[in-house]
Amino acid sequence: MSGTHDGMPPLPPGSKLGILDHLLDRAERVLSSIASIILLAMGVLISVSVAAREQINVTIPDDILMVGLAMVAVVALPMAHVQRDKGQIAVTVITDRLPQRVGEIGRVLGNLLGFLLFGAIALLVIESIPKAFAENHYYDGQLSIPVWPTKLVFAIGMGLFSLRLGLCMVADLVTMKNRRKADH
Amino acid sequence: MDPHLIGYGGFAVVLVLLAFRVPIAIALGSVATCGMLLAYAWTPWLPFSLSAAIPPVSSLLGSTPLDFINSYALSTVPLFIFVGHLAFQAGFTTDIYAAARVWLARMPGGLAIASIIGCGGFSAISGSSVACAAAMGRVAVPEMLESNYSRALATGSVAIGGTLGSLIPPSILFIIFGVFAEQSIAKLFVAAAIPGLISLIGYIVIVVIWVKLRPQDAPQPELTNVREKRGQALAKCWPILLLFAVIIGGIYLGAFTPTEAAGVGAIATLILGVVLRRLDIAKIKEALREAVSQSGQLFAIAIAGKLFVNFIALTNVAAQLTGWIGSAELSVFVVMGLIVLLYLILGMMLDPLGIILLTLPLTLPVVESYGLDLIWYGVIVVKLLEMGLVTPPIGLNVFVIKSIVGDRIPLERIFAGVSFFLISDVIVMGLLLAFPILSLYLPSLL
Repeated sequence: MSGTHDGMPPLPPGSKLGILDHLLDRAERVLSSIASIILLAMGVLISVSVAAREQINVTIPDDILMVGLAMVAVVALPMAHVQRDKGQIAVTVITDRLPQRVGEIGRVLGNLLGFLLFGAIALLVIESIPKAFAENHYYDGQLSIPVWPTKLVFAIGMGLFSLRLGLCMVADLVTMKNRRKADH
Repeated sequence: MDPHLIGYGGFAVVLVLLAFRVPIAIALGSVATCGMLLAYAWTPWLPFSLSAAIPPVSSLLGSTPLDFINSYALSTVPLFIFVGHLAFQAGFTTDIYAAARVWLARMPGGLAIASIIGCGGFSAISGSSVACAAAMGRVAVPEMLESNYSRALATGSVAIGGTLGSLIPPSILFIIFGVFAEQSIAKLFVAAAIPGLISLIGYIVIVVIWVKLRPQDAPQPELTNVREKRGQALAKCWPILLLFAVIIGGIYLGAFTPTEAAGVGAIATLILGVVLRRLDIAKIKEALREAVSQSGQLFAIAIAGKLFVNFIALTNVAAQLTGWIGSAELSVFVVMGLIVLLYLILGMMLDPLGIILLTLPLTLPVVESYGLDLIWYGVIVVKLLEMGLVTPPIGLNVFVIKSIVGDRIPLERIFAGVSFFLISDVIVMGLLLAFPILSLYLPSLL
């Protein structure tokens, strides 16, 4: 079937990987909660903007821009938490009919590719932050909102997502190894 | 190396990775990145140079994903997901089913019809088919089974009813289509209203015919005090009707943009739920948690899809394909037939968002070259994607229902139940293809 593959397999709680998982999980939960609050704020901002426009003919400056910027946080910040909790949407119809090992290898490959892809995106955005900060880049608009905080939020979201994918890959490898041991 | 070859190779590698369980987002994104590196490094008539490819690809990776999600139009997606979860937590979405169930209690197949109408009501406030099938499935399927409905009818009616979530506005798939095809989301929403209604009526007609042919599949449930309950049940529906009027009425009357409708809809649902004491802090938190979680999953695919669109544009595959079709002088009927076939085949294997992002870069230029209306095309695509949600071997909605009923009903029974309803889908699809006015009349009034 096509569905989400399960989140990350459990890691031994006391091990170094287990501690890293625990720390990452706490950070991810905080970021996910921040994303929730920002989503709510986005709805409030839009509603207030519409009400102000319709009732008192006043527009909130840069409301459209702020909603777009909020969107970055709403999307990027929970990605790592989603990966741990539910995983990403994958097609499992073929691997369900093949030996379990094939599906496991596919998972490891997917996590490795994802780690590299989203890690590269995070690094490339991080690289551009000092320049945006030093040269005082800002978005076109009445409030002159600086660019660097949005980039930072996005980079944090993507960076954690990449780290989580890396950890998922390691957890998958550990699970595979343990299963092989048990089989023998 | 011929960039077209890299483009076609990219498609093939994506399909192979998907087959090996690599998540859709990661398959699309990693192939797009490697493909772009190859295309830049292997420029025709010049020697292979990876160092020449790194700066443009780095620039794309460093800017495209962020620029893509920094979008006012796309913020409609998490907001509508939030509206759906809030309305579900408040119980608004099941009120329609409860009312239809009481009103249609004496009608043969009344519970199945009520499920379909309930799905229609859910769809009017939520933009996701799977969410619709999951929510209605938990309520309606057990009740139909308790009333001794046949297993195929009980599960099939909810699985197919759930597909209305994508067609009846608001719809996440229309927002994604609108952004990628650069079409008005408001027009797409309005265009889908009549096709959505026809689909809903079609499913009801199938239930009526089914029960006429096999009355034993839908025995009359024993409901008491039906008459007294009718008024109460109908009265409870006003919140969802009000929200639908605000969201879709606001867009249709030009009072709101779709994003504004989503924002106002979210806050209106929240206020209504709190005032009516149907939402508390825990439920609001749960709705928010689910909304950001679902958005994170969807946008991982959408970001990767955006990179894939860039890759396909770079390799010029779409232009070559359009050229081939133009030189082959294929009629518009053949081209649309091929597109329908493509979507039906992919619908059997992939999820709707993945299909949209994989196919739009190729099909949009072809459709445009034939001068076809892209709003109409959007309705056709979403209807086809809906059909993919219930066609074997993979039908996400069928699997959702299966997860609800567990071992009580085998998968084949659910697919068998859905197959009767697909007759209606085929007829509706034929009507939508033959009479574009069904999709284009309402947008022409905007």
